[in-house]
Formats: sequence, C-alpha cells, structure tokens
Amino acid sequence: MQIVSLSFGRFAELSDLDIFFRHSFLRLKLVLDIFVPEDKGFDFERIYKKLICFFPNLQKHKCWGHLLGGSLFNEERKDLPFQSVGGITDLAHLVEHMIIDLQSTVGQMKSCSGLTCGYQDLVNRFDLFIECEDRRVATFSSNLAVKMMKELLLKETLSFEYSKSIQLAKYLYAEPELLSSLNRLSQKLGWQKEDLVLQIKELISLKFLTKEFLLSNPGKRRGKK
Amino acid sequence: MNWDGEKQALKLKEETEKKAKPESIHLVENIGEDKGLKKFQKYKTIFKCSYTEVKE
Repeated sequence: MQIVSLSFGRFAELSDLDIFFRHSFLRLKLVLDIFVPEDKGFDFERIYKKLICFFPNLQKHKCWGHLLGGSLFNEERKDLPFQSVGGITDLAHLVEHMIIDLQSTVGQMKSCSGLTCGYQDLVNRFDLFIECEDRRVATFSSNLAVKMMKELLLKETLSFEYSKSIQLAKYLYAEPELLSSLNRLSQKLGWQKEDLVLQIKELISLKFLTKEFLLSNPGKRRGKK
Repeated sequence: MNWDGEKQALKLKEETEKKAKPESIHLVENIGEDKGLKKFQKYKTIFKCSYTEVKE
C-alpha cells in the first residue's frame, strides 16, 4: 500500500455527487495504490477488529455506496457498520474511515464526510476525497492511517505506540504551547520523557510536527489552519 | 513483509501498471440513471461516508 499523491482543493466537480460535502470546507484528495501479494491475502474482519481498539468511533460512522458495474455488496458482512464489497476495495474504504476518524479525534472536527472511489481499470488504485479543516491534521491522518494499515497487512497486529501518537497529536493540536515544556507535557501525559521524545519524532515523520512549527512560537499557532 | 513478499508485491504492481496504462482508461457510457455519476465514469465503486460527533 502506498500513497501516490496527496493534495488539497475544492475539487468542485465533486459537489454534484456528494451532498454531504460542505461548500466552505477544503477537501483532501489522497490517491492510494494497494498491493497485497496473492499468497499472503488478508483477513478483513480481523483487521477491522484490531482497528476498533484504536478507533472506537468507527462503529458510529455511516456510509452509502454506488457500484458502477461492479459486484454486489457482500451480504455476509452485515455486521460491519459500513458497506463492504470484499477485496482491496474494503481496505481503501477502511483507510478513508480511519482518516475521517483521526481528523475528528485529533483535529476536533465535529462532522466529517468523505468518498472512496475505486477505478474502473486501475484495479489497485483508489481516490479518496475527504473534508478537512486543517491541512496538517489531514496530512498526519492520511500518513498514520496508511502506516497502520500497512502494518496490519504485514504483521497482522498493531503496536500500542499508535495510540500514543494519536493522543500526543490530539494534545498538541488543542494546546500547541505544551511543546515548549517537555517536562510539563510528559507530566500531563503521564509518560517518561524518553517515550515523549520518541513520539515527537514519530509526529515529525508523520508530518504533524513540521520544521516550521517547531521553529515558531507554538503558542501563537493556536487555531491557525 | 519478507524479501519474497516484497518481490512479489513489486511484481504484482509492475504487472498491474503494465495492464492499465493511462491510455487504456476509457469512459463507460450508459452506466445508469444517476446523472450525478456521469462525471465519474472512471470509477467502478464510489462510497460516500460521514461521521458526526454525538454528545452522549
């Protein structure tokens, strides 16, 4: 699984299709390629159950599907809170839900909508369009969702460290000035300072903490999009 | 993923890209009644999703 491109815009052509996209909101477009070796396969139900531990709100998401000449929805998957067609389409679709959920959790979006579009001919390619309020949170959410899904596909398990990354990003989004005092931040989180430093490095690699952010006065960035 | 797995994934990626060159993308006509979808004929599946926080 890899991110082919990540861009922001209005993508005005989408407004006819999705009545849920709010006009005033910026949209993220994530182009995703998904490759799973044939002999490896994946257990979607297992992947979904693992993710619920990190994203409990996934169960409250809603979705509707349009299939253009494709197969029927998988009737055996009625236990899932969203539409399922099987195969790698379900993985792309789940990544979209993860990004929506991360933006709601970290970026405090009260409501968020998205689209997962599977190509007719490029069977491994998907375009994900998702509303966003903050480019940094949207980029982080995309990077983290893809990283977690890749790990699940390869190792069939997820490190608890991901929940720490989500928690730290949530704290720093709400109170960016906390970054100016690592002692205070580690106390607030109840973490060892070494753990905090590791997670800060992780947030840098996931593009949540940028060089510009670190060099600026975090206190002045509160609420800046 | 072990080395064999990586090689296999790379091979699969190359084969897929070979099969689906950009020029092979074609628009499918008469795909349905839904006028809103006509702009999206390059897509086979479209899911619309949303989440709204509910205070309990």
